[in-house]
Amino acid sequence: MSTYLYLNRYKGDLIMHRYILKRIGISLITIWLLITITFFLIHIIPGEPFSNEKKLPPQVLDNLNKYYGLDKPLTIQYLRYLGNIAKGDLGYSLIYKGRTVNDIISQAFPYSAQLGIQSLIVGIALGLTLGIMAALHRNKILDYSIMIIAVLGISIPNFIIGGLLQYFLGVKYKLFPVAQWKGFIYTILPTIALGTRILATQVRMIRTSTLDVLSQDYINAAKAKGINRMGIIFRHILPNSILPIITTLGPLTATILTGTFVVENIFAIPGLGRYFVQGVQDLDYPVVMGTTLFYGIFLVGLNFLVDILYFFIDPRINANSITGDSL
Amino acid sequence: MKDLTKESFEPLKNKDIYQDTNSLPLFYRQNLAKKFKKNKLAILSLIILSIIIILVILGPFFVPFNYYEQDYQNTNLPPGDKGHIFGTDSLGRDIFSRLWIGGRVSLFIAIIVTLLSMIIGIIYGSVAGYYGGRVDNIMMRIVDILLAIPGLLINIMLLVVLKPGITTIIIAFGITGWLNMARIVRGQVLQVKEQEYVLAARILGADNKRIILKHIIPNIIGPIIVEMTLIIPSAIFGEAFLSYIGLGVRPPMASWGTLASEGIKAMRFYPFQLIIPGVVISLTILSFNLLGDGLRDILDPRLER
Repeated sequence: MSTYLYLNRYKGDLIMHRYILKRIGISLITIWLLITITFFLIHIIPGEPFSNEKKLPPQVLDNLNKYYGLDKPLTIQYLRYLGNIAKGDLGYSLIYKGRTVNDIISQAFPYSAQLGIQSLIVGIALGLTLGIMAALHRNKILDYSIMIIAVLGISIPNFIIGGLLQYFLGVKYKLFPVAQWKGFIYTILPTIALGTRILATQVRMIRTSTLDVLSQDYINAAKAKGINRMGIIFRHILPNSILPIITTLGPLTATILTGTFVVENIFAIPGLGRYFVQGVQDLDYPVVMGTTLFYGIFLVGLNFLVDILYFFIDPRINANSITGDSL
Repeated sequence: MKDLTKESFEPLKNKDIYQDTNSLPLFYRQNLAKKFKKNKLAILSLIILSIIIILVILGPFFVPFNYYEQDYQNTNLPPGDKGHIFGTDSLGRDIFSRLWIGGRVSLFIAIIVTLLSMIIGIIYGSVAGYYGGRVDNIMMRIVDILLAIPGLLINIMLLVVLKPGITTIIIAFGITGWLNMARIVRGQVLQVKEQEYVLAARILGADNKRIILKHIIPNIIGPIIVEMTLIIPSAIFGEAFLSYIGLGVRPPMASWGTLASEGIKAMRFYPFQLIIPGVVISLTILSFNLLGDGLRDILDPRLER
């Protein structure tokens, strides 16, 4: 018996190691693909990099091209690009003279991160509460009203929510500052604008997963033991309903990222999303590509962590369920 | 008894034996219609969508203004003033006609993207699911890797590099839009291909193409339709987002996204310029979402309890 258990565990470990290796492999391929796509997209752009500058003597142009390695064949340039990214060097901005893309990211990302984390916390906390409430009052008025809020939250684009919040709460009733980022009170409207969508997607998912939990035998067992309602909710329903949130953390972060592109612009927040959109409008290719790579690698890394984390957190996911095509 | 030779077990060669058996049985269709009529939210969203689509098609003909003519004497008129039902924008253009012309662009992009994603997704997913094994493994790994790259980032990069415009937006969304569809179709095909009627068709001599087109796809059409009604709103949403960050259609052409982003600029003094397109965009996305939910309830038998 014990040998069997040991063997089983050993087999599980082996499968888990293989799973992690496989995941690392897929993540690396994804990142490489992303880098390659960005590189070749930059080189699709018609025209020479310095053709926009005022007429340069051919010698200067040659020197410039030499300096940036543009006289080398494409394959050499590609390998250099890979090498630079491996070193974490994303190049120079074309618009902000003398600033590196790394510099811009390290300065602007903290604002975006704060905004993102705040709206993630608000969205998940409210989404969890409303989702569980909806499930507990299934097919009653409360459930329907919560689901209406959820479907509205999914359907209204965040730049419209942001614009309306800014107009009504900022301009008209002057409850909150209209824009800028100079303290906690300034963060409230952007957080709501960004958090609504998170809340809405969470509510639907939490409701479904809670309904699933409610039909499990252990809930009946807990009721039969005489545990009161709050006890059941906090001890038995909540921990099990939280699990699926972890799997959606990747897509959720992607939603937040694209949300910051919009919300930071509306509220004039000096975050990375604003630089990105500015870069798009100014055709500042290094900034756009650098930010895309940064966010892409960030998301791929996050997805990898989530996959591994889920494996450790949920004991029901055993080796068998991940070796199949659920991978 | 007739002698059974090896040839008896070969699939029949003559395809004429075959009759068209792929239309859904009558009682099933009636049942669907009955269920749909019970779903009031889905009916309501269908009505709202029809109204919006009629206005998008016919709306611009109702007013004596066109969507591009600028009138500097009459800028930022409030709704209802001087015959402009929804007022005018900062260049004096009629918002009512811009709204429906913009709707044409937005809905056109959404519909083409959806059809494109559907066609690619169905072909890719059914080939992967039907042939299975190594083909399936390789094809789905490719989808997994493409799905891991955030689609919107790819769209933005493509639009930055290529010339912005309706075609580019459609290409950009088409490149990423089919991935989920392919996954769904593949999962469904894996289930359906083991059914007896597929075996029966094969014994009757149907080739792979015929089995996929006539037997498998009609049986998995439910999840495909549901996924389609969910791609449409996300395409409208995505187009609005891209227009907002300056990668949408070029002026004087309008789309719902460009109208909303112009509205945000003018919002401080003329909030109606944001509210009007905002309400129409949200209502459209909302209706498609509700319709999709309703169809899912009706078409997905696993949800029945």
